[in-house]
Parts: sequence; C-alpha cells; structure tokens
Amino acid sequence: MNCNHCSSHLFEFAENSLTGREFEAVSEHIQNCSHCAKLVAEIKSGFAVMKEEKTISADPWLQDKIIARISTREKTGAQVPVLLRAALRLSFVLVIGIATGVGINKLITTPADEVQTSVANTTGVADAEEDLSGSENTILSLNE
Amino acid sequence: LDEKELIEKLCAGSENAFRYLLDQHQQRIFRACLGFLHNKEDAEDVTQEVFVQVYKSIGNFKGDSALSSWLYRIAVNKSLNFIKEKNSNGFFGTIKDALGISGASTPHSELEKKETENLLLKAIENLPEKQRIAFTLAKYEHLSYKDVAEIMQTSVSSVESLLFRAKNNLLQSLKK
Repeated sequence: MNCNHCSSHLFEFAENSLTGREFEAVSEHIQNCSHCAKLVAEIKSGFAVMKEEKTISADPWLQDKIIARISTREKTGAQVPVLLRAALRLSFVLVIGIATGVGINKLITTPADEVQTSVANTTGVADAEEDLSGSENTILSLNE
Repeated sequence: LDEKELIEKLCAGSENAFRYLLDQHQQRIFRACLGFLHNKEDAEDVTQEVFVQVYKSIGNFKGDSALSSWLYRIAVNKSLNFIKEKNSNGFFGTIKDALGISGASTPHSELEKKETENLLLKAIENLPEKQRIAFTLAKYEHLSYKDVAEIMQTSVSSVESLLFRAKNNLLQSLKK
C-alpha cells in the first residue's frame, strides 16, 4: 500500500471503522510511514477533542432563559407598536397644528400689526419647539 | 404527544408544548451549535436564538421533513451566521479587541484551548460551507447520511460526495 491509497482510508482508520484486510494494510503502512502516522494522529486527536466536547451540557437554566426571552418578546412586541402608533399620531397632530398656524398667520397679517404678529409667531414657534422637544423626549424614552 | 399534535399545540401558542419541545430537543440543538462554534456560551446564545426563531416561525413549518431536521436546519444557519458576524467585525472588531471590549469568546478552559489549537478543527472551519455542514453533522453529530441529506435538503449521494470532498480537503490541509 502506498501513501495515496492509504490516505483514502485514514479517516475510517482513525474512527476504527475499517475491518479485515484494509485495516491490516493501513496499520502496516502506518508503522512504516511517519508521514501517514502523523496524519492519523492529527485526525484521532481532532476526533478526541470532538468526543470530549460532546460531554458538555448546556446551562440547566437555559430552558428558563429561553422561556423568559419569549415572554419578554411577547410583552414588548405587543407594547411597542401601540406606543409607536401614539407617537406617530402626536407627531401628525403637531405637524398639522403648526402648518395651520403658519397658514392662518400669513392670511391675517397686515403691516399695522406686524410687530404684534411677530411676537405671537415667536411664541408660537417657541411653543411648537417645546412641543417638538417634548415629543422627542417621548421617542427617546421609547427607544430606551 | 406525537409530532403532529405537538406542532398543532405549538402553533396554538401553548407554553407547555414549547417546554416539551425544549425538553426533547434543547440539548441536541445545543450540541449541534457547539459542533460549529466550539464555545459553550456562544452555543447557549445561539440555542436561545434557535428556539426564539422556532417560536416565531412554527406556523411556517410545513411538515415536509421531521421537526428535528427543521430544528437542525435553523441551528446550522444560526451558528454559521453567528460565525460570519463574528468574523466580519473588521476594523472596529480589531479596535474592540485591542481595548478588551469585544465580547469575543476567548478560550478559558483547557478543552477550549485544545479546540483552538487542534489542526483538524481548524481545517474543518476552513472547509467550504456545505462540506463543513455535512462533515460536522455526520462526524460530530453522528447523524446518518439520510438524516444529513434531509437537514441539508439534498440527496444521500450528494452528502456522500460532500463528505468525500471534505475528507480530501481536510487531508490536504493537514499535510501542509
């Protein structure tokens, strides 16, 4: 048996699944060939590590962790869309309110009350900004 | 509880059925993940992901294959995706590693050290994806070629061919 022929049986040999003449032929070759013997040793060592690894058990609490994760997911999954819908509604109302306010202001503004309007506008913008910053906080706290 | 009944109860959202599923398959799925990840904590994390995915998509399970094959399929996909994500950390991953905040698993047991240093395991990690899946399921999980074929949704002869090529590639890597 040469190295090429031997190497096609090395995995089976390392797993002890070769029998009869093939087993004897590979055994004999390995005794006389350090190169193939080294390969068999590497394969056997890999299989030994895999075997050892298979003795590891999962954390006994893993099942509870999975159940808890699913329960949390169900709860947050149900809450987030409701809160998001509320935030979207609020943003929509704010945008419509600001747009309407700006439109009405443009319609009723006359040179005589420009100063007064400008004060009113400033307050309106300030209010709107306050509202917006308020809504931003809501979104931030939602994300948290 | 037979498989059909179990699936019906799972689809109905029964917690008892889900606990039964975990009792029956959790350890096997954990070991399948471990076979790809070689790290207990990572395998536990991915096992959690697998069952969350099962919970979410049990309604999509058509019953064309055994439930266990479907679970294995999810476990294989999740494990390989986990590895890809871990490997694709790139530049930021390097910085995090340097700062010691990467969260990447470092070998902390004698066995994990052996796993990291083992030439065969390293060579398996470098196999083409399908060969790696076939080899891990057949040689690590000791599943029959028929089961591997069902999990991989292919034929038994394709699995045989994948394993033949996997062994040749592994030998080439070990010879280097």
